[in-house]
Amino acid sequence: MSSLNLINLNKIYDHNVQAVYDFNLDVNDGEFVVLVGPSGCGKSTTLRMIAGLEDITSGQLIIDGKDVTKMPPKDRDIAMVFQNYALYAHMTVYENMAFSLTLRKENSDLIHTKVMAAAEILGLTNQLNKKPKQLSGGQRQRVAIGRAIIRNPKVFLFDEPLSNLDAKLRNSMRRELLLLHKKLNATIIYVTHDQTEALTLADKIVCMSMGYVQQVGTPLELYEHPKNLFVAGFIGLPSMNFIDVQITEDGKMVCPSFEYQLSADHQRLLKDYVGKTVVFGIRPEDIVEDGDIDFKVKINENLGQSTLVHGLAKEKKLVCKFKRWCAYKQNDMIKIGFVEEKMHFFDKETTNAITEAHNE
Amino acid sequence: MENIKLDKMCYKRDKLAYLLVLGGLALNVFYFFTLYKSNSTFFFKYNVGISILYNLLFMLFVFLSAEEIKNYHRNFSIVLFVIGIAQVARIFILPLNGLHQEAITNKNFIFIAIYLALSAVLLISGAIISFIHSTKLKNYKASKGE
Repeated sequence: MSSLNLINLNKIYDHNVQAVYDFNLDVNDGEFVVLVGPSGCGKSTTLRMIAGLEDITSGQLIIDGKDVTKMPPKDRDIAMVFQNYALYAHMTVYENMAFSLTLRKENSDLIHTKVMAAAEILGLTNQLNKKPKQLSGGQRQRVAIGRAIIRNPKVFLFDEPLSNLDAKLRNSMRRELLLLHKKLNATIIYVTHDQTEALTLADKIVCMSMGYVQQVGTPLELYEHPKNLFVAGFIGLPSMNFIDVQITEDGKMVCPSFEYQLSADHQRLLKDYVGKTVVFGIRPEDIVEDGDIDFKVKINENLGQSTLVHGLAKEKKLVCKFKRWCAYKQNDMIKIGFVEEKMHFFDKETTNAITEAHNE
Repeated sequence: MENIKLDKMCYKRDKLAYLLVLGGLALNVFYFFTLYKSNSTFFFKYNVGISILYNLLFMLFVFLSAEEIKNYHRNFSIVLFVIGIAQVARIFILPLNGLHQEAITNKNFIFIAIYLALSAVLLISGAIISFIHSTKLKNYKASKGE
């Protein structure tokens, strides 16, 4: 396994359409990096540039200290797993898995040993004589992963591999991928638009939008300290509530829906924004059933161990997540408050998070 | 090492035996093309009708058997062995009669004999190889308790 460095990667298609802007990333040996973002943000293009399936317009791609920017895909020693599996329908599972090594004219005994080892890891030993059409979606994806494993590549690339599976299978495959990563200690770059996959799988998340990297960090960093409004809204389910508020001289944040007395820490944080409007962000799970803000319940979504309560604070729509089974009825009035240390503030103009570092 | 070879057979088809049998089938096609290209009235009799029918059935059965031995079905290798022997016998029926009746030339008869003999060799060797492979695989699977 090996490390990977992407230095100022840019991708410009015909008619000057730019898909990726100045992409910089260092992937360490054995790291599981997830590129996450909405459709069209450039994550798959970046992955395809790493694989060599797309030309790099400018920038440098370095694998294990070697510049592979201009190198053809077959020489990069990278294995890619696609969303649609890309299995050969006329071949058995065994033949599909052995195919890449057969093409390289490797010794057939060695190929057999590798295929059997990969099948054992992936629980496919009893399926080796079957054709892909006789397998379930999850098994097919495991075959595709097995085909990548037996090549023992420097880097594994996964392009939305679980998107074609149903929700239950996706969950179990996600766990299997995690176990596989631990077993192989492989360097993996994984593309998904599903933030749950990103949060559960990644050692490091790269959040992208409109071709730009918005934030790189651990799942916890992105969740607890989003750098801007986009990351704050994209990471987390249900997404963060945003409210435009004005910061007053007496240390309050004021909006048409409520007034809220800020803590001393928050007042210090927002001292440059007194008299200005900022965006206040609060995650649904950081709203509590205790406070001074009037909240009119509209809909209850009971999820078993928690309840999503949709409603209005005056005219502002908010979603709250309470860790109990709630039996609120429509138009019930309750009081809510916010967990102080989980409140986020964003500059309305730049959309960047307002942090201590920002003030320094 | 031997175990890996046997284990591989569980997941790989018997390509060698399959290709040998297909080769035997192809040579049979050369045989009847050479035989039937004569315009002699000898070929307007009922025995040629039987020969054509036999060739059609031969091709169908040999092809299906080839597909079966590819998957190590031992019984079909026995059948192919018998068909291979029959190919040798066929040299002495219609072609030899045709030669005696001067319906086919000496040169064509030699070609026909070579085609049938080679077809027989390929079919018989394919059958023997298939028989050996399928027996080994059967014993290996039995030793693993499958």
